[in-house]
This record gives sequence, C-alpha cells and structure tokens, in this order.
Amino acid sequence: MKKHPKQAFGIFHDGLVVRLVHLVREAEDIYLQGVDHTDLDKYWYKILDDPSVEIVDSKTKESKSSVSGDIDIDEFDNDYVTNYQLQPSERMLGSFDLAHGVIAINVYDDNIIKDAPGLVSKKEIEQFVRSKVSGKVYKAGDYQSSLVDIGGEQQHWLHRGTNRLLDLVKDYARTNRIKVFYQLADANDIALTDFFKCSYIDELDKPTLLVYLGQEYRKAFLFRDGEWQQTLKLQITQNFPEPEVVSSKLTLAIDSAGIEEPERIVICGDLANTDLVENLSEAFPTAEVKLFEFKKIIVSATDEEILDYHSLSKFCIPIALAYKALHPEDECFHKSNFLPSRIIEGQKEFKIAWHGFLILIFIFASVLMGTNLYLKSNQALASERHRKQVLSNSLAQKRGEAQQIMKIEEELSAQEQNLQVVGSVLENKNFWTELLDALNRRYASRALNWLSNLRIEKNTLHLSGISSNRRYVVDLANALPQGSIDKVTAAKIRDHNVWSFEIKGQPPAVNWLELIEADMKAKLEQDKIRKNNSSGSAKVRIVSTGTVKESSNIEPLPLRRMHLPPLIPSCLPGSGLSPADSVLIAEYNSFVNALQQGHIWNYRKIGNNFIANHPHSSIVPGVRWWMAYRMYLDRDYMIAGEYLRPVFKTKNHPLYAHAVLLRARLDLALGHDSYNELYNELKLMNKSFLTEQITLDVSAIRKGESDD
Amino acid sequence: MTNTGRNSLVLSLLLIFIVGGTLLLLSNSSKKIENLQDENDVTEKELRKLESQISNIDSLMALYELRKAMVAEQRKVILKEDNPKTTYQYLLRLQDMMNRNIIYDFATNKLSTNAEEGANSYIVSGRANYMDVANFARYIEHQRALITIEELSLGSDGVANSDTVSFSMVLSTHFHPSGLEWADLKPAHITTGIKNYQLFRSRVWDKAQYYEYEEEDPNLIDLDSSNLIGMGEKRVFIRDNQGIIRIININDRVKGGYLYSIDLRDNQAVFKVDKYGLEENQIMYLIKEN
Repeated sequence: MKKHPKQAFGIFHDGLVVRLVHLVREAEDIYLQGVDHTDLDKYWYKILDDPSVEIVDSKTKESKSSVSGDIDIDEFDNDYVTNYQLQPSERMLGSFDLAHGVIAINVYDDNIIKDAPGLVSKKEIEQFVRSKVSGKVYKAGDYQSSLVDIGGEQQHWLHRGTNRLLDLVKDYARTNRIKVFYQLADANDIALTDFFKCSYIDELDKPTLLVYLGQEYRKAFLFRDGEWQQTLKLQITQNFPEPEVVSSKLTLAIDSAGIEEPERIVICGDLANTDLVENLSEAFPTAEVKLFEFKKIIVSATDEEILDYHSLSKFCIPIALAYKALHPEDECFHKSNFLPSRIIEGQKEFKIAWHGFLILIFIFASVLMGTNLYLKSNQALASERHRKQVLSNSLAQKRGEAQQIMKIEEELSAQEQNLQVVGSVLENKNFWTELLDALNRRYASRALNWLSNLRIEKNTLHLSGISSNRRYVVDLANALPQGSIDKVTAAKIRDHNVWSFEIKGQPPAVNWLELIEADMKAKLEQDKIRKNNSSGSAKVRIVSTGTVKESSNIEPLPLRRMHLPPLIPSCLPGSGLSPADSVLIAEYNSFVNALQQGHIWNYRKIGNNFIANHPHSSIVPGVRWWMAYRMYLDRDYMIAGEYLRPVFKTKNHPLYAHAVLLRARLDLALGHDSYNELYNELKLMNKSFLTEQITLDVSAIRKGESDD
Repeated sequence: MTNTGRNSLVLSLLLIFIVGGTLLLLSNSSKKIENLQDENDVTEKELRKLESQISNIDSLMALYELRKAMVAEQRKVILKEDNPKTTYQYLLRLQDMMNRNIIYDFATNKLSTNAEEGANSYIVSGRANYMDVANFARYIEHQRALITIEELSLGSDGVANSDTVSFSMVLSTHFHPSGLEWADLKPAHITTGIKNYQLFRSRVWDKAQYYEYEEEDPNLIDLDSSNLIGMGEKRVFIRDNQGIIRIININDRVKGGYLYSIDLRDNQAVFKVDKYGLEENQIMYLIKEN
C-alpha cells in the first residue's frame, strides 16, 4: 500500500454499471479530475436474474459476440464500428492513465459475511473463517478479513469468492501491459460510511441517516454522536422506484429498526435527485434532507456528469474509495482492505531513507570485506590443507625410507655379524694352500729333497722326507712356524748318502678376515671408480697393478661364463722368425702342422719338445701361446692357462696383448669375472691389430652369444 | 515508525547479523587454519628430523646394494644349509672348475645336531697326483663356500719317479640361517696359486728312469744295452742292442744324458747321464770287435 499516493482511481461496480473517478491530491486539496461510467449488459453476480448467463462461475467478461442480433443491430452506430473491438469497460479504463495513480475498488456486498459483533479475537476469527470457507480456499488464502467498528463494537467481516471488478482491471492491465497499483478493495458500507464521517465530521452532532440508493446496492446508515450505529437495508425491488416508494420503504425500514426519526437525512447514489429530496422532506418533516455534499472535493472536471451534486452523488462510493486510497493513514477510515493478500504482497516496495542507504553501504562494505576476508581465509585454509596433504605424503614417504634405512642398517649389521662368524670359523683354518705353496717353493729351490709324508696331529704339522743334504733339513725346519727337527737319519742310495728326516711345526697363520675385508675394500674402490667413470667425466685416471693409465669411459661387461668363437685370422699372432733361424723354422713348422691336425696329443708332444729343446728361444712364448690357444679351442682351459702363464707374465713381449686376449677368453670360459678387467686393459693398450677381435668379443659377451 | 525507519532497522539488524556471521565464520576459519598450521609445523619438524636421518639413504642404499652384491662374491660365504649331497655336489663342481678328475672316496663323518646352524664333517680320501690334490685343497679353501679343511694327510706312494700321493681330508661345511643358498654361489676368481712342484716325487731311485719322450724317441740310444765299437776325436761309434751302429757326436743326446767327452788315449767315452735322480758319469770302453 502506498502511503502518500498523489492520484487515485476509484472504481465501483453496482448492478449493471461500473463507475470510475479520478482524484488528485495536491497538498491538502483533493481534486476530482474526471469521472466516467460504463453500463454492463448483464449482471456479474446476480446470475439467476440474468437468463443470458449460462456458466455460473465463469469469469466476468462482456460478450464480444452479438447475443441477440436484432437488438444489437438496432443499437449499432458508427462509433462502435470504429471501436468495435473495444469493450465499454476497456474504453472507460483506457480513457484514464491508471498507471499514474492507485486503484481503489469495491467488493460485491453479498460476498461479505459478517460475524457476530465482538468476536474479533484471533482464535474466533480463525474459527469463523474455517466455518465459512472450504479447506482448499482456507489453505490457499483466497479470503480476506477486516474488522469494522459499528456502534462502538468491533465486528469481523469476511470476504470470500471472486472479485470480478478486480479481475476486470487486472485483465485490462495485463492486456494493455499497464502496471497498476492496487491500493484498496473495500466494502461499500465501510467506504461510504468512512467517507461520510470524514466529509461531515463537524455536522454529526445530531442523528443523521445516510441513504444510498444504487442500482442494486441500497442501504441506509444511521449515525449518532458522529458514529455509525446501525445499517438499514432498504427493501426496494424496483429498478427505478418512484420517490414515494423510496420514502415509504425508508420509513418502513426506520420503523422496523425501531429507531427514532433522524434529524438529518443525506441521500446519495444513482437514484438520488431533487425530487427524492423533496419527497423525503415531506415524508420526514422534522428532518433536514439533503443530497450528499462533497465538501472535501474540489471538482476540476468539466464532464457533464458532474455538473451538480445530483450528478456527482452517483459517484459517491467511487469517490469514497478513491479518497480513502489517497488517505490510507487517515483516522477517519477503517483499516479494512479486502484486496487479496498476494496482490498486496506483490506490490510492496522496499523504500529506504538516507540512514538506510548508509546502513546499506555498511552492509555492502561488510559483505565485501567479509567476503574478501572469507575468500582469503578459505584460500589460506586450502593452502594449508594442500600443504598438509603434501607434508603427509612426504612424511609417509620419509617414514617408508626411514624404515627402509633401518632395515638396511639391520641387514648391514647382520652382514657384519655374518662376516665376524666367517672370520671366527676360519681362524687358524684353511692354511693348506699357503703351506703347500711355501713347501713347494722351498723344495723346488733345493735339489734332491722330497717329502714322503705330511700330516697334522693335534694342530701340529708332521713332515717326513728325504734330503741329499743335511743342511737342507735345518733350512726346511725353519720354513715352518716353530719348526723343529724330530729325527734325521742317514741312508744310502746307489752309494750316495741321503738323509731321512722328520720335522714338526705349526701351520702358517692366514688372516682370512683381513683378506675378506681387503677384498671388500678393493671392490668398494672399484665401485667408486666405476661411479666416477659413469658420472660423465671425460677421462679418469685409474690405478692398475702399480701403473697409472689414462682411461676413457668403459662400461663394464655383464658377468657370464661362455666360450667364444675362434679368433679371426687377421688377429692371430705371426711366427716372428727370421730366415736365419732355419732349424728353428723347421721345428716350428712341424709344430704348426701338428696344431692344424686333429690329433689331440701330437701338437703337445712337439710343442713340449720345442720348449724343452729351445728353452731360451724367443719363439717359445709363441709356441706356448699357440698350444694354449689350441687347448682353449679344445676347451681344456686349466692346462691352457698353465701354458699361457709365462707369456702372460712378460709384459714387454710382443705377444703380451695376444696373451691378455687369450687369458680374458679363458677367464670368461671359466666364469671368472676378471675378464672384464682384461678386456678393459686390452682397450687401453689400443692395439690396432686386435681392435676388431676385441669389438667382436665384447659384442658377443654383451649379447651372450656363446660358441656352444 | 516510518517505513524507511523500519527498513533501516531491519537493515541494521541484517548488518549486525552479517557482521556477526562473518566474524563467526572468520573466527572458525581462523581456528581451522591455526590448527592446520600447528599440525603442519609438527609434521614439518618431524620431516626435518626424518630427512636428517635419511640424508645418507642414497649412499646407504648404494652400500647396501654393493654389500648385497658383494656377499655373493665375497671371498668366503657361509651357506644357509648343508647336507652330504650338496657338499659332494660342490666338490664335484670344484673338480669341474679345475678341469680335473680326482678319484677319491667320500664319507660323512659327523652331522651337526642343530639343523639350523653348525657344521657337518666329511672325510675325503684317495690317490691322485700331488699337484691335483694341492689344487683341490686350494679350490676348497679359496672358493666361496665356507668349507674348512680340518685335517689333511699326504703320503708318498714310494714308487720311484711317481707323482701320485695318497691323501685324506677331513672337511667341515659350515652353515647358518643368515647364509647364502648353494644355488646363489658364484665361482670365485682365485688369485692365490701354488708353485707347480712335485713335492712327493722321489728324486733318487735304484732303477733307471727315463722321461717319456726319451723312452719313445727311437733315435736315442740306450747306453746300458750298447757297445762302444769305435771312436774319433769328436765322435764315437756305438752298436745298439739291435746291432745297428750309431754315430754320436759330442753333446749329442742319448737316453738319460749326452756324450760329454772322448778319451782316445784310454779308449773311453764319457757320458753325462741322469737315470737315478743324480747326474753321473757313465764311461764306455772301446770294445775291439773281431
């Protein structure tokens, strides 16, 4: 509801007429800008009285087709041709700019149900409503309630059913796309009595009877002491009754109500005119009878319809409605409004003043700041959550690694313990290799000495043998730790004096733990060197058997045990013989021929003879190499190694590179990992005549292509 | 109260609610952030602690991998389990590595009462070439399996010029649950060697002994079954047991030696021979043939 509307349109329906007034407020003055009316061709509510209405609850609309052709044809005029599509009500509404004011309409009087006076508590109102409307309507809220003060006592009025005048305006507004504001829908009684009180506020000191005579709505309202006391329904059935009929019916009503004759009678409505005033003046000689005077309205319109109060009184109720709409907070008016609540709610506007704007700015600032802070906070939260997730993942990973480390440390510790166990087991054990090697070396340098028995008893070694020289016996005893001579006896062989001896001593000590650790250290060093090599340095220096060599990156070969194909002919060593060595050449050729034959022993015999006959010859290493190579081809690897050993030990010999190659092949065949180092050594030698063979061998080892 | 006043009141209440709600929301959010920060700080501290603990993980891992690899290649490795079958199989494998076929007897001496750890004792005995036996002992001692030679006895067969010896060994195969599987044993490259020398071979004997090639070479004359039938300043003429006359120059080889000198005055030729382990002068006198 607008509190201070400037313009109001009062629209009133009664019987077969709809009237409209346009009031404008300027300061305290109310101007009547215009009036209009339209006649309806049928009743909206009194259906039984209108035989043309077939559908009882159909929406009210003037028929756009001709119902009775003859009559319509008779009344057809040129104006209708021009606006033949416009209905009369549309024409009327269209002549006013409804969007610039508020709308006030009346409700159909018969749709209002009145409760007993005084039953106005919330509970009583609810009970009354429930008893009068269906559950569906109650739930939908399709009813309106208002409290009316009559005779100093409040009464609950309930409006139910449709309001066809409202529908008419809504249809018009929707059809023409006009936004209208519905200010008020009021009962005729309330609007009229309130407007009367407001207009005659200074003259209501004596009992006054307000009589409204409309087409259908015909009532009289008794005012005493400025208050509406009673309502008298006038039983006038004629559409256009004679003034005498009205007078008699009014008299009857007053008599029936048992009230005293009023001192003043004010008449308004469609039937109000000067004749009626005169007639009533005669009928009520003590009363002052007048037409309704619109004291608070300044008529600015020039319509013919409102040239006098007689004409204007027909518009009494629409003026009352419009006036009430312009003064919604006036104490003169009841706070009644039968507009559907959804319309009222739908029209509410949110208005704010400067302080409201200030608060809105604060709200905006608060929301902006709050949102900003919240977003930042959320961002920080998300960041912390992400950090937590990352940290949790890292923590889990690190814990896993820590566990792995613990496991590794345990394993390493176990390995250490294992090593200690191995060391303790081997303490004072497995010295036989050392012992036999020491004895072999010692005896080999002493001619005519040999052992006949060697044993150990209670950790003491016992040796017995023969020596051609007594001094040697002492020497042999010294070879053993804590060695001592048990017995030396003389004997003769082919008239030669020999000495049979018995020696005892302690076995030599071998520190296996030290050897194992030295091995591990060496492997660690090798690993370091390998890592250094693979770390990308172009050249590194490696230490090998006491000499320093330049080495490029060499990738280690995989550990394998395999026999490689024969050497390619271009990589086989030549004889290295000069023409002067004719005897040697003959023997060497015989050896070479034997090599090429299939006999497995012949070449060995010839080779052995050659070695024995020419021990100091420069060809011997070649013979040894060839014998070893032939044995390699025959897969007699161990013997081949023995034959090759002297050649392998002479680094300055021209066949040294070939010896290294053959040694590498032998180690590969025996499954010894030392071939890796030997091939590396060969690469470092950079012998062009072996490059092709080395490449082939390395490739075969990498691919695992054995000659098997 | 005017409509705008009421609206302002409502807006004020809304403002209060918004401010209150925002503060509440921010407070909750702030508490959550603080809690998370505290948790994250604790986690970070723990992480730093762990990181310092595991800073050497790479080197440790490398060491571990190396050690793991080295265990299999360690000079001596204790085995996880043992039984006579595996030890015997291992000894045969050693012979394959040596490329030798040593004939010996194998017997279980004593099995460990503890099946998890301890040592089983075995006896190996037989006859073989001395160097083969020595190398066999070397392989047992220097190959990776932790087998100890508790006793070793070697005895000469007493046969002249023979390299064969009788031997017996008492071996102990040690095992432990933390040890290596037999199948994972890798052959070791043995750098330790034994000087090649026949320690038990008799160097002096009663019966003449020749090298094999001397026996087989038909060009070498046997002095014991031949006669000196003529002599010059630098050569002698000898008839062998088949009646064939051979011409031998000074320094020419004969079975077991060579012609050292000719004494025309005493009609004798001196040969340096080594048939009994000692180098001797064998003198042949000229025999006048009819």
